Formats: sequence, structure tokens, C-alpha cells
Amino acid sequence: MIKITEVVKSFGKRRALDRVTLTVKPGIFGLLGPNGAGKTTLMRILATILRPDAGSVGADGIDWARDAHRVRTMLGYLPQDFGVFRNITAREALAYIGTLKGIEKGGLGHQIDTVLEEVNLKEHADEKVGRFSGGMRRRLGIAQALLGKPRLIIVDEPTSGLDPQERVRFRLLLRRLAREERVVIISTHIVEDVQAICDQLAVLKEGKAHQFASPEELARAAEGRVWHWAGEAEEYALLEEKYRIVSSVSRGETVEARILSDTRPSDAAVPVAPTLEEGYLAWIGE
Amino acid sequence: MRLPPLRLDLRAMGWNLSFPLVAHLAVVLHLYFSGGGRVGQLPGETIQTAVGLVSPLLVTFWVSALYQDLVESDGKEALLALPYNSFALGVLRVLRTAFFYFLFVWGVIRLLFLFSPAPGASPLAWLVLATSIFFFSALAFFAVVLTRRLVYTYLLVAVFSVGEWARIYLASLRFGLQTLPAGGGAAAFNPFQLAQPAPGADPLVVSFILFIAAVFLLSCGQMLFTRRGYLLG
Repeated sequence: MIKITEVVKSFGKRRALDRVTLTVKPGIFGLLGPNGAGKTTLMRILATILRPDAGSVGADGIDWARDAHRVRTMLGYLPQDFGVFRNITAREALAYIGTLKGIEKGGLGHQIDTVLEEVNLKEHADEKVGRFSGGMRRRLGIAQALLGKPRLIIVDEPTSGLDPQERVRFRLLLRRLAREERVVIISTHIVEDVQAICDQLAVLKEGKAHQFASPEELARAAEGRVWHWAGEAEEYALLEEKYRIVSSVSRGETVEARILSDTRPSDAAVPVAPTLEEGYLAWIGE
Repeated sequence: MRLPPLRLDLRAMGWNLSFPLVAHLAVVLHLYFSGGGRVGQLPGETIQTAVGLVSPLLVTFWVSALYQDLVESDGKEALLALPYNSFALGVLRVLRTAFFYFLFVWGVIRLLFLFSPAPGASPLAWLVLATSIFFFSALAFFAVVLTRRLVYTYLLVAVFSVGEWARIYLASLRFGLQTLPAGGGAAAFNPFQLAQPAPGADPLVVSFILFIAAVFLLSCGQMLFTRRGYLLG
């Protein structure tokens, strides 16, 4: 279990993280928040690349500030884009990273084959990374994160830039990883990712974090504020000007919409159970 | 303390690996054909001037390319989060690369002297060349870590080299090959001593000063390289 306590990080006058306190248990932890909320800064602190100005991060007696090297030996980190080692093949890139992770030469080849298989890149193992598509680079990124069998995996924006098929495959892979008593932390602004795979989550907003016991608890943040409305297109245009429309769909002459509002937007609107996305929008004040 | 395999370090450099090789080949061909394409026509001084200018400069491409993935690629955070030993990945890798580069230059010079009536370079010339290469390796390491951009590294090394070449050239015009007057000791710092000797400067002293400057640059580069947050830039 990882404990993040009162972590503060500033860049000049801008406070990126403001007394962030979170508890992360084994499983998949989703860190949700709009762009610029401080997610990547927190990920980089967890990955020991940045040091917090104040506060601490620890797990099982390991202090992130004092034992940074030890943390790195049990860590797999995949940033938003993995565009390194463009001049060598995927297999060579993994061999390079495996060496830096301290994996013994004897077992490295086998581990590389295993992780390439895991991310479905085995047939491209001997192609140059520079020729890979964005999705393939991302898969190679997760392969390098898996080398050395890390106990903690950190993934920044796991599915951004992936096509739907790769997105589903990637989520299943993360789910499978979490089954092996690992901590997997994903940072994302895509609510669907959290809904699909996370069993714990927190929302970061302007550097402040709030942890929720479950995705359902976040959804409840919008309870009593989500309305289903169906009516004519002209009336819809008026509603769109005044209220926050979460989703809408045209059905011939009529339009159906879900609206986020503290008050009933129209006599035709009926209250409905909120989704996770609506809870998230309500919580961040959209 | 494990270093990445040399073969992968070299392959990961991309065109930066081959550029110095091709440039040296061009120097060999140029010198050979400028001597009429006949063996035994190439003066030893011409070889030393050409190699003393080109070889130290070109090591910049190898050393800076060693760090391109760590300092300027998308996703360099993935590498910065690895449990590598900063000293091994920093200074030791520079030294290893500089050593293999020197071996390559040694081969080129031996080849060039096959076209020359001169018996070969003197031990002092080898020492001066080795310290020049060591100095430029250290300068490239410091520059790439400081600027975190390869293109700025090349610019910085280029501006520095032009300035140094001009400074020694102007000193040569003023003092000829006489011993430097009092206060002219600055000419004892000369990264191109083999190609353009500083007037009146002792090559041993020049080598020693270059060596000290290289150690200083390596230390400064290493201090920056240890700070992963800085490399993240």
C-alpha cells in the first residue's frame, strides 16, 4: 500500500500540487482530472523523477525521498508518449532498458520474449522503433515498464492516441497486471478508462486531490443534478444555451439529452441516476 | 554498476555514429588524392593538421548522441525513472566512447601515414591528440546535459571552436613562433594544438591544461546529469 501524505510541489509561483494525500492499495488506482490539474506532476513524483517540496510518499517502510533507487528497482513507468530509441529495434530497446534495470543477462532474453508476447509485438520485435505507429510505441512502452516484474506500475494517460481496438486491449492488459498483487496507477482525463478498469480513484483539481472509495461514490456527486429530457429541436437549442448538456442524441424530429443542473431545467425533464462521467463533471464544477 | 552494451550504445546513435566515420573517410580520400594519388607523397604535418582539427571536433557527434534519448526524446521520463547508476551512465560512458573513438582515429592516422614518407606521429603528438579528443568529449557531454538539445550542443561546440581557432591564429600572427611574452599564457590553452600549435607553448603543458579542463567539464556535466528533475526540463 502506498501512502502519499501532504505532498506539495510548486514550479515558480504556480502550485502544481497542494497538500495531496492519498492511499493506494493493490489493484488499479485511477487518477482523474482535467489537463493541467497536476496529474503528471504527481506521476513524476511517484516515479522518483521529481522530488516534492514538502510531504512524503512511502510504502512498506520504503521512503521515496531516502530510498529512491530502491523504489526505481520495483517500478515500471510509462509516460504519455514513448518515443525513445528510434534508431534501434524493439528487442534492442528492451535489452538496453533491461540492462539499466539490472536484469541479469541470462534471464533478459526470456523476459523480453515474454513481455513482447504480452503486448502483442513479437512479430515486430526486430523492426526499428522509429517505424512504429503511435499504438505500437505505446505497447512497447508498456513492455519496457513490465521488464523486471515491477510491483508498482505507473501509466500516464494510458489510452490517449490509441484506436478503440487497442484501447480495449490495453485496458485488459492493465487489468491482468493488477491481478498479480501489483499496484497499477493510471492518470487520465478519460473517464471511460476509470470506469472500465479502476477499483479505486481520486480526482485532482487545480492541484488538490480528493479520494473516492469507489467509482460509484464519485458518480453520486451528481445525484439529484442529472436530468433526462426529450423534446423538439427548437426547445433543445434554448436549453443548450442555459444549461450544461452532458450528452444528446437526435431521434428524428425530437432530441433526447442528459442535462447537468441543480434545478429542473424544464417541466419535461425527469431526474435520472448519474453516470461516473456526470459525477466527475459535477465534482470538478463543469 | 552496469553499463549498457557498447553495441547498443553505438547503434542507438543513428546517423551521429556514421557521420564522423564518413567525414574521416572523406579526409583520407582528400589527403590521398591531393597528393596526386601516389603513396609516399603526403607530408606528416598535413596529416597532423587535418586530423588535429577534424578528429577532436567530430567526437562531439558520438558523445552528444549517447544522451539524445535521455535529454530530448518524447517519453524520456521512462528512462529517467530507471534504476541506473548516474556515474556509470554519465562519465563512464563518455570515457568508454571517447576511448573507442580514439582507437578509430588511431587506425585512420596509421592508414594515412602509409601514404607518407614520415615514419608516423610522435608520442607527443599522440598525447596532444588524445587530450584534445578527451577535452571535446567532456565539452560535448557538458553541453548536451546543460542544453538538453543536440542542436544547441553542436552550435555551442561550433562557436567555441571557431573562437578558439581564431584566437590562436591571431596570436600566431602577432608573435610568430617566438616564445610567448609575459601575460600570453592564455595561449597554453589550445584545443587544436596538433592542428594549429599555439606560439611558443609547450605541448606537454597544453595537454595538461586540456586534461584539467576536461576533468572540470566532466565533473560539471556529471553534477547536472545526476539531477533527473533537471534533465526532465
